[in-house]
Amino acid sequence: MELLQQLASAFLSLFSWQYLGLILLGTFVGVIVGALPGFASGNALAIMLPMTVVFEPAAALIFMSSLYMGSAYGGSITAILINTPGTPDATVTAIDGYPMARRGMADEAMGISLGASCLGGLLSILMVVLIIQPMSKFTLAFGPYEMFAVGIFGLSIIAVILGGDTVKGLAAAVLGMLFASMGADPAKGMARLTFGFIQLYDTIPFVPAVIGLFAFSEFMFMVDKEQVATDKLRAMDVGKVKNVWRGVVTAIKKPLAVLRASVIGFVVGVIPGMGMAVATFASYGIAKNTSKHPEDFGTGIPEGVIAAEGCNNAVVSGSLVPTFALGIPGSSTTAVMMAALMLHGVVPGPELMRNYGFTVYQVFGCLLLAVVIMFLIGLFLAKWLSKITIIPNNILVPIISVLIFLGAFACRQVFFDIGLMFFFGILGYAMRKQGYPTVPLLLGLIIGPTVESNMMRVLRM
Amino acid sequence: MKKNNHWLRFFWSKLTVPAFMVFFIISFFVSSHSLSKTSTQYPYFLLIVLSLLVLVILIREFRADARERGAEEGGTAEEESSGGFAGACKRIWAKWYKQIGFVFISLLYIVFIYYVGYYVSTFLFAFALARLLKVRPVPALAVAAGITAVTFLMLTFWLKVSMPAGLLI
Repeated sequence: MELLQQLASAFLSLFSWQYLGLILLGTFVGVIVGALPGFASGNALAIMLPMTVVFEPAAALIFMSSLYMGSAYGGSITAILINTPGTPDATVTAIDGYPMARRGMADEAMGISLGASCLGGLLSILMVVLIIQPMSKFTLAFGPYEMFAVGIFGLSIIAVILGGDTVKGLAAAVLGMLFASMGADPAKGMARLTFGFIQLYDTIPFVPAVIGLFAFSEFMFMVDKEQVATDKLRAMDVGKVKNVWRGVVTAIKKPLAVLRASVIGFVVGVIPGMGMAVATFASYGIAKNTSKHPEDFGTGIPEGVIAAEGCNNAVVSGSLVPTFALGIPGSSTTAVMMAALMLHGVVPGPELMRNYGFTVYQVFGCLLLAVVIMFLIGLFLAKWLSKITIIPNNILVPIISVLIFLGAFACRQVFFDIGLMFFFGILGYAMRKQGYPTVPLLLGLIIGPTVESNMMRVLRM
Repeated sequence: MKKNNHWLRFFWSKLTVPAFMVFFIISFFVSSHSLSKTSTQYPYFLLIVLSLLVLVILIREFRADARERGAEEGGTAEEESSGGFAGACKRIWAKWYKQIGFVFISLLYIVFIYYVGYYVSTFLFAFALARLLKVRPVPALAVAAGITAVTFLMLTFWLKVSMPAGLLI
């Protein structure tokens, strides 16, 4: 009962102009960014992170969460229309979505994707609300021993799963922890590895590191990419509301398929390091194996689109559980979310629900509203959204490059941070070029201080 | 069987690891001066690390180029037939010039923000980047002017941050 009261109170608090505006803006930007091919949600969040510095913690988190939810849906638009997923997570959507579009059913496919995304998002929010409080009560019993173990466990599992190559993933994580050890020693306050820079005395700031590793390095790849299928998109006449609605109804009429996809998405999302891509492939595989007509999958059937899209929006809520309750982000996007939390002085982990329980419920309430806004955007603006993705890379790169430099400076207003962002950008590019994942490095940077301080406490006990 | 006498292959197989170790040891000793105390040694450390990185990347690129040429010419990697060293340099430049340009323009941007001021540098940076990516001059100017105006509005009304005016202005 108390939980319901807290939830209702948090939800009602969102009905202010500021919060509603931020949810609307975040979802809209998220859908657009998700639709841009080659532009992952983690990059979008990294670029927008410094812009939230002027907000209070709740407003910043609400904006970032809405952006995350919107981007999970946005990726399906280009996947369906031109077989080019906006994000890697929408790859599975293209398997059945694109054949539907080729048969002249692009609007219906977009409607099914929209309906499944919204229903999957809603169901997973209900699941996360049920799980987060018991889980946080359990984690409150954690002491320094457990926190140290959880930190090392989280770091190693993410390094191994995300890395592809175990050694490279672990090497990246250790490098991140090495960077985290820069600055004042937590026990004695002595400067370590600062290279004489006074700006590094408080350890490496997250924002320039996040922007450099995700956004700057991504742009170094993007400068070489050709625009995909621009003419094809320009010529398309898609997004008729009536047809999109018909697709939504098709998704609603298949509740079991949506429920299955959502549960898979949520469960996979809760496991750190698995991410959306794994979840959507698992969901699609299970849907195919349990179908009476598995041979139809891949030919353009609604069940295939539902399996992918019902799942990836459920991952959004699921992946926030380990991020909030344990302080272990499971993907690049949640790693940036965690950096956003820490930027505003909110420390994720066992104490989060006790100290910021109301804000956490506000975030889940905002995800609920983001789903509603996403639905309206998808239903009425699908036509325009598909055209926005026509913007060529060579125009987009200079515009957003300026914003990433601005973002690196804006947080602390220290000129040094621009150089730091540049350093991490080059490092991120070199690592990705050589097959080293950058997410474990960022996680090492974020989790490193927690691991170290808990280790010091344990050693003194 | 053709004798493996390519100088790059020799360098890679025999000298890379010792070269890497020597660089690493020098870097360590140079940086140990500046790890914790106030010092001006860090640029040398960074220079050494960057030189090492560039060296490794260059070696890899020349090797890859020699391998590709060899595959194209039926397994006989003759330097002369594909333009020799100059030809390899041209091909590598054509492959990498956008990334190199992006890094170079970004570096100049950082220096310019400090000395010339934020808005002038932003305009020049966006214009140079757009031109690097083959946007025609007039649209490139429009992009640069547009994004400079947007950053001005964002900084003034949203973030309320005053950017460095620059030492020269």
